[in-house]
Amino acid sequence: MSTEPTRDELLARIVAKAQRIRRRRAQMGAAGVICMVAAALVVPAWMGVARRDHKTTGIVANPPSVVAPSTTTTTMPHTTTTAVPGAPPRQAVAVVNGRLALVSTATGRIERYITEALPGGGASDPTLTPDGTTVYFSRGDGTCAAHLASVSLDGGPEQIVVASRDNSVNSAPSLSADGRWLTYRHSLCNLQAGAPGRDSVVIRDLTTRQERRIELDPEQGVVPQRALNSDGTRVLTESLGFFSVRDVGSGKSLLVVDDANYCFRSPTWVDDTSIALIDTCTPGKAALVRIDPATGKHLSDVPLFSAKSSQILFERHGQHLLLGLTEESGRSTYFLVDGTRTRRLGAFDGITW
Amino acid sequence: MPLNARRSWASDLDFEAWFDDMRAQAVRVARRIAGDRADAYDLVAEAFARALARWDKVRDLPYRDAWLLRTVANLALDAVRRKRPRVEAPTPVEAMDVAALRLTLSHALETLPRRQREAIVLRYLADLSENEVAATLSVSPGTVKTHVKRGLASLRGRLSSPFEELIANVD
Repeated sequence: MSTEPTRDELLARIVAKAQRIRRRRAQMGAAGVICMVAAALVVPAWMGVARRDHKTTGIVANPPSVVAPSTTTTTMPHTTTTAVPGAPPRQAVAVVNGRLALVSTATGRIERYITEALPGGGASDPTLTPDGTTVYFSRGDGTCAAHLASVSLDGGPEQIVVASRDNSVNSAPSLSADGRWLTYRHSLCNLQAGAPGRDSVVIRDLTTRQERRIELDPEQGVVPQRALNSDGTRVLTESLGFFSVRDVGSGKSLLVVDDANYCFRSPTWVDDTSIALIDTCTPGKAALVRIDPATGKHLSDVPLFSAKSSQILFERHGQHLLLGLTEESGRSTYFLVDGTRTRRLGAFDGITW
Repeated sequence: MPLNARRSWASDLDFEAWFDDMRAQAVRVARRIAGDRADAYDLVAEAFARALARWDKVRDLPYRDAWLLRTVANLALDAVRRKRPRVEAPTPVEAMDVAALRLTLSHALETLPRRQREAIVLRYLADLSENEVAATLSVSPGTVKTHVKRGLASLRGRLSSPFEELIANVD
């Protein structure tokens, strides 16, 4: 049986596939494609905005000083991680060797573990409920299978939220700020990468359990940790070469931000009026960029202290930031950026607050 | 149907020239991981199609060749995982059955952190130099060495023979 295609046959197959990819992209119905790279050439004009942004929100110092974690041991209540407005949350939930642990944001120390190490797969992708009492996460069920579960920060058994059916991997859970909507990534392992329907983002109404499914772009589509806006009507998805804001009701893209040089990382909602991301388009540098989720308009641009910056996560009030730096080991080192101070928390496999 | 028929869409001849340059290497990487020849061509077509779909951007990437090979490798690893029944932690490789060996290697690679896996795949399956791997991953050559060293050390605990020796048997 000869299945080897000729050069022209292979080229024809490539052209057909490429056209399909482009058609799918066009069908996303983008309201507008914003080329941020061109805009990035006008950095000097934004610096004033950046300084104002820094004054009003206190997000990132320029440049921030890195302060070593305190060695003081503090006993923290561990029933909630909810922040008092103006102060950073006292605790974060980190992934440590497949287990979820409560970590003090004051000392970076693990206070206690809240999940066990189970055979079949570890816990990953934690995300907290808005009231800070429960954490949702993904747990592996062996090769190419994972379910979503939740557990109270006070302890107790894990509850299955979304079971792994049909050899599916369910991951990257994210909750809306009103706590009603859960979104997650659903991947079918029996379909080839790039096949239609392999990867989708699911939005579930936690009150009615009804679900809506939006197919993800075949090019490595992912769902960020903070993917939903406050009322669950907009979802942020990320793909190779672009990310988009989609209307949950219709599935259509309202905004597509083109990442021409594959240098944007970790897009995330800050609040309903802004999305933040890490811009590494300038070699050796990284900046925290805010854009308007409706228009794509650039709102501010603030330098980050390390070009290795790869992950950002604002707490619910949008005033404090966890910044992750990818290390050679594959783990990330996390820093808490609190006004003009930057404190190292520690190296974890993931974190949320 | 030659690409010329789609010239207005495909925009220029650069893609064809690049395709001719890279086709054999891409097929080789796909075959080393996925094995089956028909599958290998599907994977290569998929990777090239992704590049062509955004050719205006991919064309000028400084690490374009390695980007393609990494995409092929990732697709191939995915295809192996999809097609084969689940295999528990690989046991020492005794029979040099190539299919079994390929499966064992791909499962072992899956256990590595992403950066280590990519560095090893590009270094040993795509046969790129350390400098080329570094350019692809946007890290320094020293970092590539570290990823490769740690990855190989980790694989050593899962395989009966060094990865570098086993991979030579799946050509």
